[in-house]
Amino acid sequence: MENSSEKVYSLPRIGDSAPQFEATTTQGTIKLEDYKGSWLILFSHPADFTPVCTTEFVAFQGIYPQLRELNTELLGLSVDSLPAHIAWIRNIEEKQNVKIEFPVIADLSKDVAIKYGMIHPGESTTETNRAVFVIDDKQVIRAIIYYPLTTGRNMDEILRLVKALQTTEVHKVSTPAGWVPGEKVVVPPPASQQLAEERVADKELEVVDWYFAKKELASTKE
Amino acid sequence: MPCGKGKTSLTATEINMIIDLLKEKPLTDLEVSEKLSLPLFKTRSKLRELVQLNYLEQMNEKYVVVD
Repeated sequence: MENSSEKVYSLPRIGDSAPQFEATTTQGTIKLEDYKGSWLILFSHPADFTPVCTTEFVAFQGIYPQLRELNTELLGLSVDSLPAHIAWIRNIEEKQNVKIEFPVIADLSKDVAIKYGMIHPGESTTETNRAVFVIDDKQVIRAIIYYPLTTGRNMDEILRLVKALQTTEVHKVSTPAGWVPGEKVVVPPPASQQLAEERVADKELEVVDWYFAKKELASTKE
Repeated sequence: MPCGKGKTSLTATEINMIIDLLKEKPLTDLEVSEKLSLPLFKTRSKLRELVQLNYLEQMNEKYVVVD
């Protein structure tokens, strides 16, 4: 029988509208809707002044300029207080000479963390885990990554993910395993037998079989 | 008396910069963002705060300085 005293934590899914929020951050009060028109990586970390999180913050700041070139913003979150965030960011600058330029939500009430399913009680009931939500310019969730408390995230993969999602958005293609810009992309499988026959005869494509073909993107041919 | 929170997250420089710009003419959030070279999300957040502080009001899509 279900235990009715257990709190159910919701988990938004890919393709859902991103849950709206208004939150106190290190750069003032921010609403999710403030990001309309740009892509957003909303990520959580377990706690300020902890070693893995510190390495991650330095690494997130490292990719921030590249993300901004992709019209993508960064927004951090933990359930620490605003003074704790400010002190930690100042500490990172003082000790590591890295200025954190993106805002960080002080989610003391856990409002945003609960909306996004960032607290996994089986791992910790008091800390957010290492969640990453990629939200597009229309505020739809396009990808979700979860890492446990113990494992720092890979920034190259986050950057690659955003590039792949934006390539899919613009060119209506898919990207194969480990794809990076410049490599061939996967064209959608044919939806009829006639199209399958045309597909295998298409000299413009690298055809492995009727259902599996790759092509170069026009912008990467030169 | 308990410790209080600051009234605003904006610096005096930020407030003056936006007010001076909007004194010239009312602008949209996108126009303010472009003229001040600020990210759009930050511009929207700052404009909202200035409206709450009664420095600005929003008329249609544009922001106007309150006399």
